[in-house]
Amino acid sequence: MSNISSRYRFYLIIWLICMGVQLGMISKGWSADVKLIVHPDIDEPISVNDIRNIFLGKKTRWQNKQRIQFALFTEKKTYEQFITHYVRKTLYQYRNYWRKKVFTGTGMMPVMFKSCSQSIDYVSRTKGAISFVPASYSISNGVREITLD
Amino acid sequence: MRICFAVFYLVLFFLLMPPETRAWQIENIHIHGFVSQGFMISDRNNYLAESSEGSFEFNEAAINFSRYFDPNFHMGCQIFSRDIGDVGNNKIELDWALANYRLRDSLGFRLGRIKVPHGLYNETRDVDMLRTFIFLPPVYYDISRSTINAIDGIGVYGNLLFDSIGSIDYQIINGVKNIDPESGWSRYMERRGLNITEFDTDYAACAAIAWHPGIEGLRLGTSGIFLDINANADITTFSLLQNCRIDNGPDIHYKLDNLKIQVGYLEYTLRKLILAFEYMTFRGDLKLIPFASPMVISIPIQTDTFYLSLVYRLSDILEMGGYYSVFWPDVSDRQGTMQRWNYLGWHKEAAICFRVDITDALVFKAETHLINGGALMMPQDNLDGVDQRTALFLLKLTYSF
Repeated sequence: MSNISSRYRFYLIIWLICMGVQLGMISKGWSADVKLIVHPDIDEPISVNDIRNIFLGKKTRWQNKQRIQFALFTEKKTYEQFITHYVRKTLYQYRNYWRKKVFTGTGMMPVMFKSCSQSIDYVSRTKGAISFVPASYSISNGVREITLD
Repeated sequence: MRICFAVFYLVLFFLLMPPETRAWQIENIHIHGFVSQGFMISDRNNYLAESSEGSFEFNEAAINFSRYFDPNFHMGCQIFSRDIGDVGNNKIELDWALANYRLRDSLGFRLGRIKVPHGLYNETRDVDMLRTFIFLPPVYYDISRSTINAIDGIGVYGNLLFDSIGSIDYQIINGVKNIDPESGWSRYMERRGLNITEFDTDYAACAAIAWHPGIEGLRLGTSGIFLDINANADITTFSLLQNCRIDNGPDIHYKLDNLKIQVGYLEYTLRKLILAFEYMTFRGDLKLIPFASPMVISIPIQTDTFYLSLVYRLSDILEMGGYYSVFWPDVSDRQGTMQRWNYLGWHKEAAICFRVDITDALVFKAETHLINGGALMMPQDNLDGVDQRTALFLLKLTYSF
């Protein structure tokens, strides 16, 4: 019994040391270098909390009762910055959040685009749509850039 | 050597598959799925399979189909198959099949076979790539899967969003539960000397609530499952007390009334670090009623279990985690004084796991467990007796799309 206890203690100590080292290595998040875009019909104040709830599928309607259609732009750097900064999850955690819904029947994967032009095109022609693009990208007349409350 | 060959062939097989997670789509039907193959080996006791010899009887596969008919309404189903030791044997089952209508954020409805949102992982207990560990702690022990996996009935759910106190997710399901007589629950009763021949549940319900308070990364929740289980069984060997047992007894009716399985949990996410704690209680009155006799044998069921886990994502591809867990089959006898050997009164387990996301679609895991106690070791798998200590090593590879 004492052997097994000492073995457990040994593994526990190793584990705690590893976790302590890794905790110290956790890097700080960076500010998001992304631009939020919506369909021009959307004209209401939006908070950071709203963005989080929209992209987690918890807030599904705008104030005018129109259905929210969000789309993900999956170029890794922008995608990661957006999810980390606004949704407050890592990319891996966010993907698993939606895959959990897929494999339990409680939801389906969000709409995704690999290019900015596709993402902007989707937002411009879909009522109630919202998405994001890199901050450096010039947006067209068909969508509206929003700033958060 | 056997492990090396196993790993080599499994890696080769899965590397031939496409590197990205790509859903298939036919018309507007989205198709996703996964296939997992595992290997387990233990030094002493057989655990869930003939693990002391090294066992590949450890796999899962599923495919699901979903379609939106309207932005608020979708339908879908998932077909599932698994094998773990004598349980499953790759029999194909309908895992879930439901129609989902979301009236508004705070209210939605589901109808059909609905996965039970019990604790942090019950809904996804079969989906290996959605978690760090290969074997979840005994809160999700395999014997309970058939009892709490899904309920056939109707459910209501929703998210309540508040500015001041965060958000609350809730779900209530009411219906019935079909339990396979060849399931893990039967294996557990076999251990107690009862050979289950038929299962029937009168009633099954589940209620779950999760609160995401204003503290970022914190989630608190509780859920309860309520069941009445009826079964017919043959007695092979049944111990009434330490020195009193029935051998080859009469056929009996087995009734588990007012079964309540409750769990409370806390999960805290700090960037790439996730801390989780769950405590589960299992309460009910087991009544054994011999067909040929008016006698009723009444046994209170009072099982407790908890675990504490830590998981850290080291990089895009590497994650590690560990947990410590304790299970007591009879919480009034935590020291096992009523058992033949004291260590049959508990199951204490420490596990460490490494997960490698080789690609988005392919996940490889290696995990080791140190187990003290025999409460979850099946005597029928360990005919020479159950040892107090077991070391278990697991490998698993999963491909998903």
